[in-house]
Amino acid sequence: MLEIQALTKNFGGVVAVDALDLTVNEGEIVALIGPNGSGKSTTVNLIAGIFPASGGRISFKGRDITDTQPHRTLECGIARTFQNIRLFNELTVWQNLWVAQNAPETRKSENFVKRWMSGSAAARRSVEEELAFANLAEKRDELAGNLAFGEQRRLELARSLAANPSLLLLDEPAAGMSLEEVKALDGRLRTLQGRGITILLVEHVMELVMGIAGRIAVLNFGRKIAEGTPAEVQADPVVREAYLGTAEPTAAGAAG
Amino acid sequence: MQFWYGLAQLIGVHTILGLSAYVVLQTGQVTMAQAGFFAIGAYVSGMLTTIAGWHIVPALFIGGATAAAVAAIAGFPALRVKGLMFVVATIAFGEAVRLFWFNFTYQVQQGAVKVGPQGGEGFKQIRFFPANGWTDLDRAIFILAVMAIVMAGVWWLDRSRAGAVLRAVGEDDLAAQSVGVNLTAVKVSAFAIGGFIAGVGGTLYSHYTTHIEHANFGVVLATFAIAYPIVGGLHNVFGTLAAVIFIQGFLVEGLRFLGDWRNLLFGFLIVVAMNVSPRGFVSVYRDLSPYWRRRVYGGAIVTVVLVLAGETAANEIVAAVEGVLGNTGLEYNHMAWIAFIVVMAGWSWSGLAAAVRLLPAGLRRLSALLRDAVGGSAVRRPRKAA
Repeated sequence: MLEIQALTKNFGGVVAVDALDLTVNEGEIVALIGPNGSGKSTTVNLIAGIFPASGGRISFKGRDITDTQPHRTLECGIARTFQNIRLFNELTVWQNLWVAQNAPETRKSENFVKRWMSGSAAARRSVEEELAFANLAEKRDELAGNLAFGEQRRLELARSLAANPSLLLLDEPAAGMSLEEVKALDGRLRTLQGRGITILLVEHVMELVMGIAGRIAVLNFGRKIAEGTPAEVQADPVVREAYLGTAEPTAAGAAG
Repeated sequence: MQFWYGLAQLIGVHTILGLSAYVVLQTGQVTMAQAGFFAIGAYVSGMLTTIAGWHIVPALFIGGATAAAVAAIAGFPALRVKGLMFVVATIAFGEAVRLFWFNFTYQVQQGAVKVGPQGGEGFKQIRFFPANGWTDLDRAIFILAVMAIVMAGVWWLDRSRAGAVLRAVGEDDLAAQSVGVNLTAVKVSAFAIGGFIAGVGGTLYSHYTTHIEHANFGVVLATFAIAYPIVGGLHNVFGTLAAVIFIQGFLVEGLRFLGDWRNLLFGFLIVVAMNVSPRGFVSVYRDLSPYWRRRVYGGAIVTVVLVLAGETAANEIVAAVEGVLGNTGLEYNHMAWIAFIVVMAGWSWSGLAAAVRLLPAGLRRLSALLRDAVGGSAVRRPRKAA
């Protein structure tokens, strides 16, 4: 579904992502892990089209999407969340999802005026569904900026789902969450997988990654150093070295 | 009465100008180009009514459409820059428009006189209103009606999904892009809508003053255009109207009797207004309890009644004041405004009580501000341990 070939990104002299190859198949949950600064978020931003790649190719469903504008990649069916939550704080919860109604299929079913004035009945219904799924139906008229942290995370996820994507890029969705919230997120992501949404997950919280990911790719200094099932990656000595250093193997495992 | 009609026209025109900036400010772009679009509307429609002999209503649309077209064309390059650079670019654009009209001459002989814009001399004889026998009252009603239509349109836009998208872009354009908003299309559209509204405002302006020149459309007017929605608050169109009444009605016209001191007080009062209501007048109103809201409504209604009652009533007030203070040299205009402020600030005794009650909070805020200014930083720093 998503194929990344020799993707490279330089910031000045710094190589943030170095000749990365990665394939995500339909229906999979693939996790991208690695120490801080290893280029995970940069990879997500490159896929989403936030900034242009220095080299390489990204294709999605057979279509070349390298260097397309963010709103175009969304139209292709790729939605994303941000590492640091970026909601529209002065809009209400409901409006946050309302703004995000830009999926091509909702566009076709409604005329221009309707789309910009209120959105079609179908689009509004899907907003309600996402609100219920995110457990935010009661907070619909509150300003997004006034929500609690966990609620904001849920809202951001719901907002990306409002565009009805087939691939979801999640940039550290569990950062700062309590263990219970992580469990709830785990369940939510499994439901999404059941809905047929493919997920590329960037995450530090290993409780989440090891449980849910079908495949894990490990980055270090912009390079992919390992790829495989959670068990394979945990056993990989190169991964242990990247996370824990070379001095002494400990019982902490790869999770670090 | 003449004075009130004139003031109503002024407020109508400036509210439309403020609303044009309001739309663009929603997208987070601080535009200084609105005076330029205002000028385009003023000149183009002026030429249509004086030279081509059009009625003002179609001229209104063509004036607005021309300004919108220019805004759309100027929008593409201008909107590629952000923040401060956008401000500089739009100031440059506004000045370019002004200097265009400074150099533009196109005159036509009509009977004994030549009409049309004449470069630095300005564009005189935009006489559609007097030539068709419109009284001051007719003009005031017409201008306020157009203002009401524009305001209703922007109010509606605000509540539509398009309005939510504009606000989303203003808050976080990267996030907006990531949920599928085409930034260029949205920003250029907002700029064009703002241009159209400014063009409509310019049309009304040129016809109500009958004489315009390039100097009317400088940076000062552009600053006023963004000051109205910012002082009034960017959450509701009524804030812009309230700010225009406050700035044009009270600060500019109402304080005329202070002579040159007015200019000093003008700036000071804007600073105070912004500090007492950092998120605009509307947010202050929104924070009021229903009890106090009723009083503000009541104040507004009573003021309108007083205005309609006219000069007689205001002169009675002047007479009453002079009966106590002796000859103060005050005139009807001044007194009417003082009456207006008193009524708005606190209709009824309880209203005055509220004003008194709010005073300490306002003073605290002001003194905190001054402390910060003396400390040299807006951020309060913890005091160092001795």
